[in-house]
Parts: sequence; structure tokens; C-alpha cells
Amino acid sequence: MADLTFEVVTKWAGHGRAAVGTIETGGQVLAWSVPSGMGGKGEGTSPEELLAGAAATCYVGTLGALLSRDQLPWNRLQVRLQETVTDHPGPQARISRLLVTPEVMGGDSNRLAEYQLTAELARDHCFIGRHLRSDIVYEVGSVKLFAAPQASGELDVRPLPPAQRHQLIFSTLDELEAGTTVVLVNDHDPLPLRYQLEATRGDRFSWDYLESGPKTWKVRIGRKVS
Amino acid sequence: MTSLAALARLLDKSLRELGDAGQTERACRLAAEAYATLEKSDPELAERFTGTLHHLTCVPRRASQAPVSPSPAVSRA
Repeated sequence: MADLTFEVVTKWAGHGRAAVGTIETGGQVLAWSVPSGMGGKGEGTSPEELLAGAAATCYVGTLGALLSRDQLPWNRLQVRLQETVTDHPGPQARISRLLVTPEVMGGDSNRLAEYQLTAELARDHCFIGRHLRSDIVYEVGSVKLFAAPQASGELDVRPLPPAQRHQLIFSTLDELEAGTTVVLVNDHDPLPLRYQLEATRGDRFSWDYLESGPKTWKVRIGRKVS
Repeated sequence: MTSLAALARLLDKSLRELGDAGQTERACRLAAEAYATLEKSDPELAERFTGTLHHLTCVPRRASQAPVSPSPAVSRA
């Protein structure tokens, strides 16, 4: 068996705890600093969030593998991880608890107990989590199951004048309930709309091309479960 | 023409030139930010940047350039 090595590069510049750093990982550069609640600048991510991210990403990957192994249906997972720092400020300050709450899209509601068992098994199998559990209480919250996204219908904007299309689409999307989708039909690639959606509404919508021209474009847009 | 409209026109032109220089992704993101900035306060002016985005993402013009996608993690089918 061989050893595997992983490497990140982090930089730190400024004065004391109020400095700002970067971390290079996976071809991306992220800004980070000490959280404002801990006397830092609160810019970008933080070591505390990066630890939470490591645990959450490892957990969700493990959960997906175990759900598939156990033939429990799912098509998308979301995991919320809450990290608690206790006795701050002071020399006893420490990360005392991690709580993961898995959300399973496209789950079978008749098998909730099995999902819960698998969610707890994922905590025990998770590679990163295993290393953390000796020092930190690591708990799994109640699994939330959501039915597979249901199409709410089709929104064909081709008959409309271009100037009216985006407002109609925005108002339709804003009324979508979490976990539902609409299929947008257009006579050109609606990429401009996608940029506008991300600029005005962040990461709230999923975007999947069903048909990409040359005359008709169909995109399934879904309201994510927050 | 108001100063704001003049600045929007200048920004529109700059973003198109940024796109023409090969920085389509960056130009699209900035145009969308400009749209978001004006959406509530001046919807009519905001629409100028809808036009900018359509210009930047026009497939035949951009065919030889890198693919444009707001979210690299989400593939285009």
C-alpha cells in the first residue's frame, strides 16, 4: 500500500488577527480570515468554516455512496453542518460539536427509518469524521426527505416580445415552490437570463438544458430546497 | 441624456469590448451585476444590460471562443 499526500498553500498578510489570507486548493484561490466574532476581519471563509466544509463534503459523499449501496433512492443530497465553538473567548475555546442534517431529494418517504440509519452510518464511515470524533461530539440530525422535483409546467416565451420575456420568467420563478421546476422554452439560448438570475437571486435555482437549439432551447429551472 | 444613462452606455460599450477581447465570461458577469444594480431603481436602464448579455452570449459570434457558462460546475446538456 502506498501513502497518499494532499497539499494546499495558504498565505497570510496584514497585522495580527486582522490580517487576510488566501488558500489555494483544487485550482481555486479562496480568501479567508479570522471570523469577526473571534476578533478577525471576517472576510471570506475561515479556518472554522473550512473544517466544517471538510467534514460536510466528506459526509455527503459517504452518504451518497451508502444510500446507493443500500438501494435507497435519491437524486440529490444537501447537508447542513453546524459547528459549535464553546468557551469562547478564552484559553479553553474549542470546537465542541458538529451537527449534520441531511436532506435527500427524490427519497422514498416510506423508508425514512432506513435513511436515518444510513445517515448515522455515514457519520461513522466518513473518513474525515472518523478523525474528528475522538475530540468533538459529532451528531446526525433528523433526515429530511423530499419527493423528486415535480415539473410545474412549461413556460413558452417564444410568442412574447423579447422585452417582456425576462420579467415574466422572473415572476414565474419567484413563485416556484422549493423542490419544483418549470421548463423554459425559448428561441435562443437563455444564458443571459441565467447570468441575471445568479446576479439577482444567487444560487437559488438549478439549471438543466433539455434541448439546445438550433431553433428551440428548453431548460428545466428548479427552485432549490433552501 | 442623464449622467447615469451616459455612464451606463459607456459601461455597455466597455463590456462589449471586453467580450470581443475574449473575456466573455467576465464581461457577462459584470453585465449581470450592472443589471442587478439597476433592476429596482431604473428598470429601463437595467434592460440595456440585458441587451449587453444577449450580445455577449450570441452563439455564432462566440463560437470560436471558450464556452460561456455562469456556473462551471453545472454542465450544459
